[in-house]
Amino acid sequence: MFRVVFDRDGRNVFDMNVGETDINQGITDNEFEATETAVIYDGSNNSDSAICGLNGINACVLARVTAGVTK
Amino acid sequence: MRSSFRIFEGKSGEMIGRVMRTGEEEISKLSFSHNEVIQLRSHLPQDAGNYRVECWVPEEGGEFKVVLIDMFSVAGSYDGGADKTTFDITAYGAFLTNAPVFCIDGDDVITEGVIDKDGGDYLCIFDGDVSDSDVYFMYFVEGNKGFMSVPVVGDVITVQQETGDREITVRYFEEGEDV
Repeated sequence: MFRVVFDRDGRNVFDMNVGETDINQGITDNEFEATETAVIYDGSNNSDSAICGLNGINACVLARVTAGVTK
Repeated sequence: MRSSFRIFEGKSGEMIGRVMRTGEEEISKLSFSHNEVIQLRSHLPQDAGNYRVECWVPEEGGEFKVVLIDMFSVAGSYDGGADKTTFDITAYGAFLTNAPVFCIDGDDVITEGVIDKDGGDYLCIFDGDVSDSDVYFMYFVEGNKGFMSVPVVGDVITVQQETGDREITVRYFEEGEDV
């Protein structure tokens, strides 16, 4: 549902899409290995997302984006 | 050093968030860690800006775990009847109910609780009497590489690599700055 682009020294390091149906199922983008996972919370007050953290990334602050990618 | 972080809404392609760094500037702190604790701030900033921390390990390598602590300077209140301790963090902003929150006492005993909303107040609620503890949010990223981007709102913010000996890059900055 979201794309995350992360550059360092002007070079893309991460470029991945999060699965549209279930963000906890990993990356569906062929550019990244299936074991890499991304999660982005938009800070909406959804208790399901708040209690369903992924690899240490939980949204706590309302209406602020929290994002993480890990492998 | 130039780095940027962008978030796009996948279906529309609309960019919904972006920060970029093209050089040294005063408001950002960019640190490299080999296991030491990095303290990004020790008190709330005077301005009303929204601050954020990014940390990342961009390349494949050994396993690591980096923990970000966002700690509040608030006193706990113990209710003996309910056997619960609450910390009121309303002054720090608005929060998601049921989000995980932690506290640590002087003996380094950690207790996990949740955020609840009582009227217009946001409370961190823990079982038992932990009123002498410090309450905080915790985020971590672990693996062979990765990053996280987290809004920070507390008084004291630290980052530490708890596992591994990777070079961790950490950036603390005010949102809206594009430098």
